[in-house]
Amino acid sequence: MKVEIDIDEKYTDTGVVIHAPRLTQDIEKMVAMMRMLNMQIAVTKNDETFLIETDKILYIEAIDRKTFVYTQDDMYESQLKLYEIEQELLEHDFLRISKQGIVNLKMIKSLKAEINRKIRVTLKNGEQILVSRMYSDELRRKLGLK
Amino acid sequence: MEEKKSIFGFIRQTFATYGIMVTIFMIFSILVGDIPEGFSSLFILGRKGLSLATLSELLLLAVIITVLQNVFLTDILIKNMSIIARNILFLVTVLVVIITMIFVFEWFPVNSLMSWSGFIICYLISMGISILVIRLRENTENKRMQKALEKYNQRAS
Repeated sequence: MKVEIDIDEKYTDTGVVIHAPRLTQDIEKMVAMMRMLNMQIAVTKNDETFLIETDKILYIEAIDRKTFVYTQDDMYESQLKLYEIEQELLEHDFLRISKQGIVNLKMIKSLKAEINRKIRVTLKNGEQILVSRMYSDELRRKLGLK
Repeated sequence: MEEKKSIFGFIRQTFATYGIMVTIFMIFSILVGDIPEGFSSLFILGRKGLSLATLSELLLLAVIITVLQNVFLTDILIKNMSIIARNILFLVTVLVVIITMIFVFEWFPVNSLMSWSGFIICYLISMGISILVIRLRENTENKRMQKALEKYNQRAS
């Protein structure tokens, strides 16, 4: 893959153009990663692609090698792997809560201590998810409790 | 790293419980002295210490308590249950086990109403205190986390 970077004062904004003979999964991934820099994530639902703002996301879950993105009222699928999303979003109020999930801290309504040092998270839509013991210390650290 | 459940973890947990029980019984035998000698099989040696039989029975109790702890106070077998329900179930089953052991090992005369009353009162008090402590600790931890979350959201917005 050829990468060209053209820096010139004549440009007023940053733009990325991809030249390719056909749309591949790699290109889709590349676009999705770039969208995340813009705090957006490319997701699909019923074969339609949507761009959603990351602050609208409640949590992201990986099930059977597929990545699902949950918002207040919808569920979408992402082409990206959970760890790829994690790398981009960790600096932006997102936190890994288990091997399968990442949560948007801004979307948490309440927290409850559970058995085995786990934490039950109630999201703003009322949905509940569990923070595994392995990641609960990280959540406490992020909240300034450790 | 998440601590892996292993047989060594179970043994460590059992002996921690056993150590606490033996210490309590030792203190009790020193304090009460020779009074329960002949009355309770647990203190058959009086102030001289605890007999091998008593130590073995306490070890058996420690093993059973550890099994019950793993059943009710972890999510190995029971996935969804409130902490308070888990603790109540744990304490009730421990009570059943102790009562069975009282009968089997004749820890005190089973026809003595005074002994049973003393035992039940002691157990209820310790059960009440433990539930209260668990509840208080749970509430404090939840409040602390909620406060920290609110602070975090204020900082983030």
